[in-house]
Amino acid sequence: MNNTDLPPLPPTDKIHPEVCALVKRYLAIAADLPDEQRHQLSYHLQHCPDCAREWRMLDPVTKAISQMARSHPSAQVDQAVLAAIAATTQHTRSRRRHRLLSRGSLVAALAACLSIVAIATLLFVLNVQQSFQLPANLSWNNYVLYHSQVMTGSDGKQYRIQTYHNLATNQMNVTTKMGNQLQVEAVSDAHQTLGMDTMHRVAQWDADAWSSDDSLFDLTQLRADLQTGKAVYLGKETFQGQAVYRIRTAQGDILLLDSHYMPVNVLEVNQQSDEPMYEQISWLSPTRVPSSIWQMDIPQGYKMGQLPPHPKME
Amino acid sequence: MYFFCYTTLQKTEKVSQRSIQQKVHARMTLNKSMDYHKRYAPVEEINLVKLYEQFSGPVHTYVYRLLGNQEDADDITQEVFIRACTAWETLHEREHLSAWLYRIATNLCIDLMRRRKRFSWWPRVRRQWHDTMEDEELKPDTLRALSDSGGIPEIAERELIHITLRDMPADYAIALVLSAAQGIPYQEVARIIGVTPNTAATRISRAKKMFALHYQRLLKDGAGISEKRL
Repeated sequence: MNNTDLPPLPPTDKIHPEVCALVKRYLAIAADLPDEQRHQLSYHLQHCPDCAREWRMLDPVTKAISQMARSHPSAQVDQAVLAAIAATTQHTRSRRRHRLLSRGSLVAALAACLSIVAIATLLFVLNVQQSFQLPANLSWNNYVLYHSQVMTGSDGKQYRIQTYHNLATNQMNVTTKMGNQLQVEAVSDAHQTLGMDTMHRVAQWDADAWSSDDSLFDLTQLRADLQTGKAVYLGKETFQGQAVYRIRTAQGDILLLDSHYMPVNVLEVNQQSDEPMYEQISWLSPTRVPSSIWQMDIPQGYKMGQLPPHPKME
Repeated sequence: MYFFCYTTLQKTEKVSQRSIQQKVHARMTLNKSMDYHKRYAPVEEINLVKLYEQFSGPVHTYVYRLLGNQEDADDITQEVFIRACTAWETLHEREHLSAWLYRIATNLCIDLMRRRKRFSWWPRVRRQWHDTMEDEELKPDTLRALSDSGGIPEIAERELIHITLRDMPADYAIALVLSAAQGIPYQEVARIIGVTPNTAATRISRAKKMFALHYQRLLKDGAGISEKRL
């Protein structure tokens, strides 16, 4: 430890006012000193009643103060700071894009932080836990993942996507529906996707646009990301009355896991609030899902052709 | 005498080792291998979350110990990390993150104390201390009970410790809490409060004496403590 800025400790076998003055200064910081110097001080104390008296005064103070209680920020502070971090880094990204640096925009970012705090505090009670680990024997592959999402198309109209995803076989059935105007079912396996316009009875291969991106539910990837720090555990909170673990994923969204470490939803971080990405997420036993939904045969009465444009691309 | 002194120092060493294991103070430098400027997002956000997770407890504890109030500690901790967010992008010196955060917290604490007009009577207290410190004798048993309590001090003691710290001149209370309560080495205390290590050591030494004498004085006067165990 570098303590060169402190005058060197003189030979402590001498009892002299100058020596004692320095010894007393060293005694106050004895805990920071290397063993050798502590032994020197100890030797001096054996022979100098004045310094020994000083030590008997300083030592209890050090101990008493070191035993003062620890404290932790309240959940509101945790939430406020994490929201501020998200807003600040998002704002900075946006600012970098626009190459615009102004004091006003900083104020705007802070205002955004405060609004996020207000909304988020109502929704969540955060309990940050320092230690978090996914159980080694955890697997999501024994289930069929079902989720539904309500999306807004490029024309402003809403449509719903319902997905069944057998994580063991990587088969997927995705139905995209927009009122009475559009209904497309896409069935895929690890190699290809068959899209079917059930209103016009038109089928098309390579209909990848109608598939769902379920990369958030890749447990192997999540484990790797948590290990490398690309994904970060943020703490525990309640979401819709349920205790959940929050993990900021490599994509920047917040994945919520229930007490059994199964995903219950994903929060999409934006400037306004953290919104659930899914209307519903369920983990179904494969036996509850009819095997017919994975079939990739072109149904009778269907003709091969072009599917309508996907609402998000219209 | 030999045995007593040697044993006492050994005991301190054990306490010191224990306090290192349980230390509130943490040194941290974030992974420098990351290219902060090229890979701004989401690396920076992750780094800031890590920074908060690692230091929010120590910073909050520090402020709470210094000011003795949960609300103040909450307010200042939040302010420290929000300021850290805004300054993070332009912070190139990331070797001493804990000192940086403690420095922000210290400045905010001083500011809060100043706003509460405590400075109006601090000089009087300081003068009083300086005038009497050299003459006043510490009764040997005054603080022994503190160290003998073994664990967490009783409520009355804790209250008296807070009152003693509150009454001390701010710069001495800060040095004392950083060193003795947070377990921060005096060289880093020096960096936080902006003085040389020698000055920091002197201030810590003097602060401990001030604390001992004022604690004794408060104990003698009652200090509003209903029950005195010591």
